Order: sequence, then structure tokens, then C-alpha cells
Amino acid sequence: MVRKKYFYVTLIFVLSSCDNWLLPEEPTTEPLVVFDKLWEDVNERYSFFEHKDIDWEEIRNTYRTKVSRTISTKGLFDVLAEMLFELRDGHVNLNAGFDNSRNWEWYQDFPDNYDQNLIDKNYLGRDFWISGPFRHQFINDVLYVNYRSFSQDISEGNLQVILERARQGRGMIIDVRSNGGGSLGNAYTLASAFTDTEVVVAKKRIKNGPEMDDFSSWENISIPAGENIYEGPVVVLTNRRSYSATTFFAQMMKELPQVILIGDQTGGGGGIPAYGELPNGWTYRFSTTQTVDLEGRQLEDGVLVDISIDQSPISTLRGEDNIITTALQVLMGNYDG
Amino acid sequence: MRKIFCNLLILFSCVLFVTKSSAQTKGDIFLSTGIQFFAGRDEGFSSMNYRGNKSTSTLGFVLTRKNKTLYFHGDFSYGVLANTAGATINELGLNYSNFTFYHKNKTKDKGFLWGWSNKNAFHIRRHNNFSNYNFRYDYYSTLGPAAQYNLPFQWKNKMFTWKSMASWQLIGLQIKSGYIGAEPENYQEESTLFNNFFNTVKPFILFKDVDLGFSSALYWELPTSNALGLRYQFNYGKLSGIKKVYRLDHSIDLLLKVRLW
Repeated sequence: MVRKKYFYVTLIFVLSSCDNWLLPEEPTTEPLVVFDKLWEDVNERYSFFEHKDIDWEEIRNTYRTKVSRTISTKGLFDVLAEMLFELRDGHVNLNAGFDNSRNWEWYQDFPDNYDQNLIDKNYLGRDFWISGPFRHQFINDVLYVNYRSFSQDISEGNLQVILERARQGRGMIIDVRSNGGGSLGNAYTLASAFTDTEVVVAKKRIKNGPEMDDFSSWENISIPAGENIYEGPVVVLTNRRSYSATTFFAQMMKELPQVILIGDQTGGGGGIPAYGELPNGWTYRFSTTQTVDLEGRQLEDGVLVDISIDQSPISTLRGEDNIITTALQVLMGNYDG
Repeated sequence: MRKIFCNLLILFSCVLFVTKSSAQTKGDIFLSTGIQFFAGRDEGFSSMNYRGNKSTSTLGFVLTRKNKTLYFHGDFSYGVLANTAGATINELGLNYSNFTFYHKNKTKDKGFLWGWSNKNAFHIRRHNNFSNYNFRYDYYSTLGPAAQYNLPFQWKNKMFTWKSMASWQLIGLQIKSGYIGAEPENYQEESTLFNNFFNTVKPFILFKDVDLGFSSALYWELPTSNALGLRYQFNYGKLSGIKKVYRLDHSIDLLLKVRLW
């Protein structure tokens, strides 16, 4: 019996010390291992290589030679950040704690087309309403609604306040210029306030394998049918800084018959980002899906507006946002193109 | 509510009466709680291992018949795991297992018993540093052989039993999160639940997929036929696929076994 007891004690000891040979080994934090890990993961899961005509192999050859065993932490971060910059994607970041890499060229090379001070001073004024994430004010019998971020959750109560107020006027302007996105759930919630039937607005697919063309089949994206909806005319204002969930919202609204998009096209961000971790603890994200509109155009390239107009510096100087002026003309029926 | 409770009580009493009338049947219920040292990797999240402590609880029932012993137990575990860089994952595990061990004519108090086991395991984890695609899960239902070894002994005029069990899951089915995100491969939002089940279920393949379990418990047999125990459990699991999942845990828990009849 004593021998059996020893056997069990030994067995338990062996089992309790077997973690290291049953679990896969931890990757090392060697700079080249870190580089290869990032390159390989992006290579296998990034969704826009073909669409953007990016030669990721060539990019690897260019940047790998810049990494050595003795490279500093900041030096390695800079090389990886430069490599990711080549993806030309606002949904691509490398986060090392001390810095967060990004590519913001999707709006930096374009006119702002939005002036917050002008909106605050000359349009919202002092007596505007705040309903959750919405700031709203009547301008010439049209309800102007300013929504700064889709990260700010929309409650049914908030939504019904603006819908009820809009019903008292002749139309509604939803200003999502420079709204950088957030939760897609809020985009669905807001868009469903304008349709009482389910409307297919786009199609999406997700990477499902390591090859460049490994994607799931296309699936419809639909706005769910809303209740107690607003049926009047709506104008949505966008600019190049309308990104990610805001691009999705613009596409949703574009497919509704009573909605007109005015301003500049959105910045894009049509790929939903997934995250990853490097052996040294840095995290990164990159697009892993594709979304196209009903004509097959990638939302990554932005949603085009129905009336394209830039903010005029002369109008701004005299305290006017000519994009809002255009929206008011459209809603009042006196826009002459 | 009271009616349901009364009906359940009557049903339970009938079962108790029927089984008690069979003199060779014993029924024990056991409860346990303890700590689980957990380590794992989900390649869908990371190439790094995550480790941490989870709290674990078990509720079980043992039915000893003339020529076989049946174990049914469900366990729950939950905890926060971390990698070497400090990123964290919340991990929740739910398992339901049953074991059947065969013996001739009467309960075998000492020695080996052979039988089979069925394990149903569900694990869900959330990565706390990711904003999208931060949930992943896996589920499998499997069958395989099992063995039990009982060693009763006396020490300082008190009765003890050292009971060890091992199982190896050989065949079954599995559903787990796909290449990216929580949804399994081939899952389609527009399909029915029935179609999605058949599209996403995959076989649990011997050697490619692994589930090994071992437990060893020391029971102090009380004069009332109840027992107090201290148990060590070990489980190792691996699920194959394009994003593999590895899981290994050691648990230490305190057990209370109560003789129902």
C-alpha cells in the first residue's frame, strides 16, 4: 500500500509540473521575432491588401533589414509603426504604452469642412437642448442635431426627444462631421429611427483563413425596423473626419429615400478591426473585414455624398457655415444646385 | 411556484422510495469548492500563454448500483488570467461529466474499476484589452474510457479512502470560435439555428484534439456514511483547427459527500 501511495504522490507531482511541456512555448521578445510575428499576423488576417494593391512581401523586405538584435525599444517601435503606416488605414495602430502609431492621412490632406466654434456660437447658441449625446437646436424651423461620437450611447429616450422635436418642424439635419466613429450599435439605433421596415444597406465579409482571398461569403447589413419613426426629410452632414461607425451610419442613411447626404465624403474605415498581441506585450489592431455598398463600392474608400460642398472661408469669416445653409435650402425646397 | 415545489418533492420522494427499496443501491451527493490554477492559450487571441487562479465549485451525484457506479457532476470555474505583459482575460468554464464504472454483483471497495465517461465542456473568455472581437468560446461533447482506483485504509482508528479517477476523451464533436471573432467558422447570420449547428460543428479527432482528466481525492469516512475530502484534479485539453486552443488546469478543492440513501 505504501508503494501505491508513493506512486500517486509522484504522479501528482509530475502532473503539477508538466505545464511547460504541455503548453506551447512562449515566443521570445527578440526584435526580429517581434517583427516577424506582427508581419505574419497582418499578412494572414488583414483584409485590404488586394483592394489597396499593397505588396506586403516587398514591405517586409524593406523594413526587416532595419531591425537588428541591438535595436532600441523606440527604434523597433518606429520600424513597426512605419511598416504599418504603409497600409494607409485609420484602423491600424500599434500601441506600445509609450506611443500609439497611426495613419491619419485619410483626413489630414483634405479640408476640415467643420468649425466647432462656429457651430457653438452661431448655430447651437446658448439655449440648445442636450439629450444624452445629442445637442440640438431649431434653425429656421429645421431641427439641427449635432452628434460628436458614436462612442456615446444613444438611449431610446434620447432618440424620442429629438424625433418628437423634429416633428414640430420642417425637417432635420444630423451633423456627424468630424465624428470619428465608435460603436456600430449606436449607428444602427440612430438609423432605425428613420425606417419602419428592415432595409439592406451594405454587404460585409470577414477574413476566414490565411490566404489573401480567404473570406467568408458576403452577408447583408440591414438597418432594423424602428418604432415611432420620423418620416420627414433628413439631411446628414459628413466630412473626411467622419470615420468608421460614422461611415457605416452615412451608408445606412444614404439608402433611405427621404435622406440626403451633404458635405464631403466620409473618410472610410469600412473594415472592422481585430486586435493582436506581440511577444513583448505591445498590442496592435488592423482591419479584418470588408464592407461594400449595394453597388459594390468599398466603404473603406468612404461614402460619397449626394451634394458635395466644401466650407467656404468667406462664409466662415462672416459667421456662416455654408454647408448648413445648403442643407437648410434643400429641406426648405429652395436649393437650386 | 409552491405547486411546482410540491410536485418536485413528491417526485423526489418517489425516486427515493423506489431506489431505497432496492437494498443494493446507494446514492451520494457531493459538493466541493476550491481553487484552480489555470493556464491556456487561444491562438485566436494571442500567441502568448495566459495564467491565473480561478475559483471552482462542483455539484455531483453518485449512484451505486449492484453492478455499476454512476457519477454525474457539473462544475463551474471563473477567474482572471494574465500574460507576462499584464494583459488580462476573463475565463469562465462550465463542465458537465458523467462516468460509468462496471463491477460484478457488488460494489468493489478496493482496486480498479473500468468504464467510460462523457464530458461536455464549455469555455468562454473575454480579452479585456481588445475592443472588437474580444469574446471567444469553445464547446465539446466527447466520449472515452475511464478508470477508477479505490484504496480504503485505516489510520489512527479512522477510515479513509483514496479514490483516483482518470479519463481520456476519444471521440465527439466540437464547436469553437473561428478565425476572427466569436462566431464559429461557416456560421452565417442569415441561416437558421439548426443549419448553423450543422455548418459549424466539427469532429473531435483523436490525438489532434485532446482531453485528459485525472483526479485524486482523500476521503475521511465519517461514521454517518458521509465523508469529507480533499481532492486534486488535473485536466489538459487541446482543440485543433486554424486557431488552436490549449488549456491546462490543476485544482485543489474541499469535498463534502453526503449519503442520501
